[in-house]
Amino acid sequence: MQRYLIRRVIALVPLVIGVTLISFLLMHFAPGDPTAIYIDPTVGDTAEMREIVRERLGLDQPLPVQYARWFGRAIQGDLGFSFVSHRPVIQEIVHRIPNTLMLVGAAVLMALFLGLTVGVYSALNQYRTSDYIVTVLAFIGVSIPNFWLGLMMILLFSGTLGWLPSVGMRDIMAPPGTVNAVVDTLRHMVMPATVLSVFHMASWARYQRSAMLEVIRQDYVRTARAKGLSERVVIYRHALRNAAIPVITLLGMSVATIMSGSFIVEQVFAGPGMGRLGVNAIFSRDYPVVMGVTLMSSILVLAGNFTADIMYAVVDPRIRYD
Amino acid sequence: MPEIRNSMNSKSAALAREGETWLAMVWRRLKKHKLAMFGLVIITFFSLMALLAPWVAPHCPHEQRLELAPRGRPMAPNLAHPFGTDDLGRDYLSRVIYGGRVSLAVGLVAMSISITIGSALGSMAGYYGGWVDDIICRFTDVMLCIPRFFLILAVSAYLSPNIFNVMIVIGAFGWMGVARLVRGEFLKLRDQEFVEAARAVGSSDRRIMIRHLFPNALAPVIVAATMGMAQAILLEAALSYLGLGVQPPAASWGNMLQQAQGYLTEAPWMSIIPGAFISLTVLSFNFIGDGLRDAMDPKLKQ
Repeated sequence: MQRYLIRRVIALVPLVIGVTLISFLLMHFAPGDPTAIYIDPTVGDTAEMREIVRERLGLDQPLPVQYARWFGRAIQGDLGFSFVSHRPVIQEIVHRIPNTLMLVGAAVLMALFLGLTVGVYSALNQYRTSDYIVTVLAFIGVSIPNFWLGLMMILLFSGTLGWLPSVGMRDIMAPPGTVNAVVDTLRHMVMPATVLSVFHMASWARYQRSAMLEVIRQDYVRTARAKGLSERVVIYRHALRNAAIPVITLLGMSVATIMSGSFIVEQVFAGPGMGRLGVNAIFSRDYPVVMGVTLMSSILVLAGNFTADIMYAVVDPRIRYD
Repeated sequence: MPEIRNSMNSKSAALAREGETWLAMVWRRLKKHKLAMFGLVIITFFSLMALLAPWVAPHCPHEQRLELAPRGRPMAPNLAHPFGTDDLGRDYLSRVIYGGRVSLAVGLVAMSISITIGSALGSMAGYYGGWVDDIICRFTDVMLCIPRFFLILAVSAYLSPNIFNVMIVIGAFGWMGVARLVRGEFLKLRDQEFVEAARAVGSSDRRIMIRHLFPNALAPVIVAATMGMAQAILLEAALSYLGLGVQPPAASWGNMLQQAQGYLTEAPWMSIIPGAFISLTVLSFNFIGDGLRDAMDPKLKQ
C-alpha cells in the first residue's frame, strides 16, 4: 500500500506542473499591459516609469524564469493581489472555498444517493415500463442545461409557489449559530445543489444500472441464490456491494465536471463561492483572481481524483497495489 | 465507401449481412432504436428549420416593433405571434428559428474542431508510443484537471466575443476524450498483421494512420462526435447566457436566455421556450449517440 501511495503521489508531479503552467500562461497572455495598474497617470505615465515597473515586477525576465519565480511564490500561497479589491488573491479564494465545497458536497451526496438507488431499481426491473421511464428521465437529466433548470426552478419554487429563496446562501434575518440559521442555509442550498447534481445523478444512474446488470449475471450471485439466501441479501450484500465499486472511479472522473458546473450554478443563484468569484473576475478583467481560481479549482480536482484512486484501491481487494 | 467497408474493424463488419455495406448495416440496426429515431426526426426538423430560416421565419428576427411591447412589456404568445415577442417587440418565434441556426452551427463546427484535434493527437500517441505518447497523455491529463467551463470562459474573455471565436474556443478544449479513445484503439491495432503488411509494402506512417488504422477507430469516434455535438451546444448556451458568447442583436438560444432572465416572472415564456429548444436538441443528439453506439457494438446482436 505504501509503495502504491508513493507512486500515485509521484504521478501527481507532472499534473501539478502542467496545471500551474497553464494557470501562469493564462495570466501571462492576458490582454492589456500589466504595468498599467501600478502607474498613476496623474503623476506621469512615461515609458521610463513603465520600464521601472516592469523591472520591479520581474516582467523583463525570460518566460521560464518568470514562471519559476511565480511558482516559488505560488507554493507559499502568494498568488498576488486582486486588481479590484487589492486584497491578496489567496485570501479572497480561501474565504469562499467553504461555500463552494458545501454546495459541491451536497450535490455529490444527492447525486450518489438518488443516482445509485434509481440505477439499482432500474436494473432490477430491466425492460419493464419503469425501467424505460427511468432511462428516458436519465437522458433528459444529462441533456437539460443546468443554468436553465436553475431558472425554471426559481420560476416555480421562488416565483409561483414562493417556497424557497432564489439567491444567496443565507438570510440576514437568521442569526448564525441558531437552528434557524441551519434551516435557512438548507433552504438556500436545496435548489443550487439539486441543479448541480441532476447531470451526475442521471449519468450515475445509467452507469449503476449497467454495472448492476453485469454483476447480477456473475457466478457468485448465482451461488448466493443457489445456497438459498433471500433475494434481499443476494441483491444488497452480494450484488450491490460489487456493483458500487466502479462508481468510485466515476466519482473521481466527475470532480472536474462538478467543479465546472459550480461556476455557472453559483452564477444563477448568486452563491457566494469561488465559482462566482472567478466568473466575476473574468468580467472585471481581474486576471490574478482568474489565475488563482483556475489554479485552486484544478488543485481541488486533482485532490478529488487522487482520493478516488486511493479509495478505489482500498475498497476493491482485487486491485493490486504494486 | 469501399475503403471503409474493406478495412473496417472485423468485429463490427461481422455484423453485416451478405453483400451489405457497413453503413447499411449500421442504418438497419439504428432503425430499431426508437429513441434514436425520435432524435433523428427532431434533428432533421431543426436542421431544416435552421437552413431555411429566411423562408420559414414569419418575421425578421431583428425587426423591432415597440408598439407590440408597450413600455418594454413583452407580448404574451398569441395567434399572430405564437411565441410572443420580447421586450423590444421582436417576434420570438423568428428569433428562436434564427437562434437555432447559431446553436447548431456552433455545435457542428466546435465538435469538428474537437474531433480533428483529438483524432490527430490520439493517433500520434497510439501509433508512435514512447515519449510522444507520454507527452500527449500527460497534456491530456492536465487539460482534464482544469475545470473546462471556467477555462473556456476565461479564454473567451480574452478574445473578441464573436461566433467564430466561440466555435474555436469550445472546439479547442473539447478534444481530450476523443484523443484518449483514438489512442486506445490505435494501441490495440498497431501491431496487427495488416499494419505490418502496409508497412512492408512501404506505406508511410501518415498513410498507415489515416488509411489503415483510423477507419478502425471510426465507430467510437462517430459516437463521440454525436455526443460532442450535444456538449458543444450546451457549452455555447452557457457561454452566451453569461454574455461571453454570441452577442446581441444576433440571436442564439443561450443569449436569448440571458435577455429573458430579466423577465423571468413577468414573461416566463421568454425563458421557457429557448431552454426547451436547447434541451430537446441536446436530448436528440444524446439519443442518436446512444443508438449509434448500440448499432455499431458487435457484442449486441439483434
